[in-house]
Amino acid sequence: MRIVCTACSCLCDDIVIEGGKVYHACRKGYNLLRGEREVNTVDGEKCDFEKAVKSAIDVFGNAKRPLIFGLDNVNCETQKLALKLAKNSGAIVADHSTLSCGELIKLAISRKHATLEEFRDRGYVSIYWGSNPHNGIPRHLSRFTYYPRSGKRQRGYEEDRFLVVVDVRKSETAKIAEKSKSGLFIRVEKDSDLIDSFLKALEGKAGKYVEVARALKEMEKSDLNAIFGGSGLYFGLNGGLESFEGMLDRLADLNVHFIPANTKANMRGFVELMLKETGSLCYDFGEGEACSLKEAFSLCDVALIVGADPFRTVPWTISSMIREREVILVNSLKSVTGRLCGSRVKISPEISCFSGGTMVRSDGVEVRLSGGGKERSDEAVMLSLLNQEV
Amino acid sequence: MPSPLDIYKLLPKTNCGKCGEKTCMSFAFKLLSGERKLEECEPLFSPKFEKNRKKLEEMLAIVEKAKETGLIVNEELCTGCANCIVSCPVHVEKDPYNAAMGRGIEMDEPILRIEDGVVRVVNLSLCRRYGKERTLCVVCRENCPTDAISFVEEA
Repeated sequence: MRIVCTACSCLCDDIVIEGGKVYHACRKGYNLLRGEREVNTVDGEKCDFEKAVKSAIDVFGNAKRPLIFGLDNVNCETQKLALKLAKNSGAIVADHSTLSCGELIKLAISRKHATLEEFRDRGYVSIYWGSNPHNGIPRHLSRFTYYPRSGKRQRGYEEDRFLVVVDVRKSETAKIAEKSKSGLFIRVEKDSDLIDSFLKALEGKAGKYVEVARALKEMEKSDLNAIFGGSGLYFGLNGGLESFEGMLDRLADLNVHFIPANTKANMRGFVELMLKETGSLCYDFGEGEACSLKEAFSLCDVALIVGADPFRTVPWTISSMIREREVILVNSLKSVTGRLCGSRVKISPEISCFSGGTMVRSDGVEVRLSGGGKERSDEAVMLSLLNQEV
Repeated sequence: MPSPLDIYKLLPKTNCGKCGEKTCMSFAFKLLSGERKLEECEPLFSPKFEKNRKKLEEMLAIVEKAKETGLIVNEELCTGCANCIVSCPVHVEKDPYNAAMGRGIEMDEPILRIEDGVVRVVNLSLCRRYGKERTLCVVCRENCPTDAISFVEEA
């Protein structure tokens, strides 16, 4: 059986499950497929899927200020239903995008950029800025950017690719760039200084980071280069993306595109939907206005967590607030949140790899997922909550 | 991984030649590459060297795991990124539309394959480091971000 992996935003479509073994999936993908499954429970008591959903309907129905959090690892269809549910119930809706790559995805949506397949076939310089794909998107380099021999780039990383890693530490990806003759590692202290160095180098002047001159020289050789921005870039810029955007405008002459390197499988789908429906990434339908993630967690009385593990991924000062709330956890795999938050209801739906529907990859390409057994999927849970029936 | 010098230090260092090698250092190198066995060193099995022999047995246990090309994969470090698979020159030649392009490998007898989230050695006899025409290829090791791949003789 061939499936699409939904463990990260690479959405690898070449995963094969045969004879009980999983082929071609990275460790992240394997863990999603073979990790320990969550158990359906109500108030700590094991129960069947239907009873857990029914209890979730009751708990959510009694909520005065519900929060729907997560959603960046579920398909677009579930996200749309969640938004509808939020509109009907006056809930607050949020995912991880306000914490990390949301603004970068917004930036990418506002600009024209190549797809990952186009980059695989034509791309030359890949700049991973504030991103360590080795951790979050393990097959990014081997499938799309540095290693593939494809299209115009048949000599692969040996002669047809150039890798630049911008990071505050020597990450695993940085080590590859540093030891390769076709690579460059720039250890930054302040991202704004690096932006300044790029702008100065374009005018033929030397900035703080003299290495950028070589990166620019390499860019001149190709009609397609890209900056893959990760959460480190967003944090490094302190939220202010204007100067970075200005630099991208200047680099457009060197055919530099910007593509986000977010890790959550369908964060881009969520951001696109939220921008279309609300204009913001975290929205309070009860008040009819945008809010912060901290407000979202502090204001709610019931938290519906879908396909997420906030105790692991959201700062403790924010996520710990839901310990005193009623929590409905919809997650296929065992999670830190599931273990520590004393959820009222835990629902273990089918893994999103088999749920069917679509997800949006980090480059904005819609990918159709395998399967379609919607009986016990995230989508089925959301539909039950919306219709208030199992 | 032990180094040849680590092994040499524990050998009798008499260059007696009973093993067929001219020097104990040469024997140490060949122990590491799997071409020689500890049993071939007669003096080492005398009571005088018993302590050293036990240490050597422990030290060389990892070498037993090594394949004929001396390739060792530490599965605990591997994250299944597939950089090794895509960069392998044999894969590139024999599977140009899948492995070479970054897709899951489809060739009949791959050298390496990602299985259950980590890289596994499937068919080492195709590796360029193997056989009479062998070359000192280190591409898979050089492109591993976690140093999960190593070769015996480099240790």
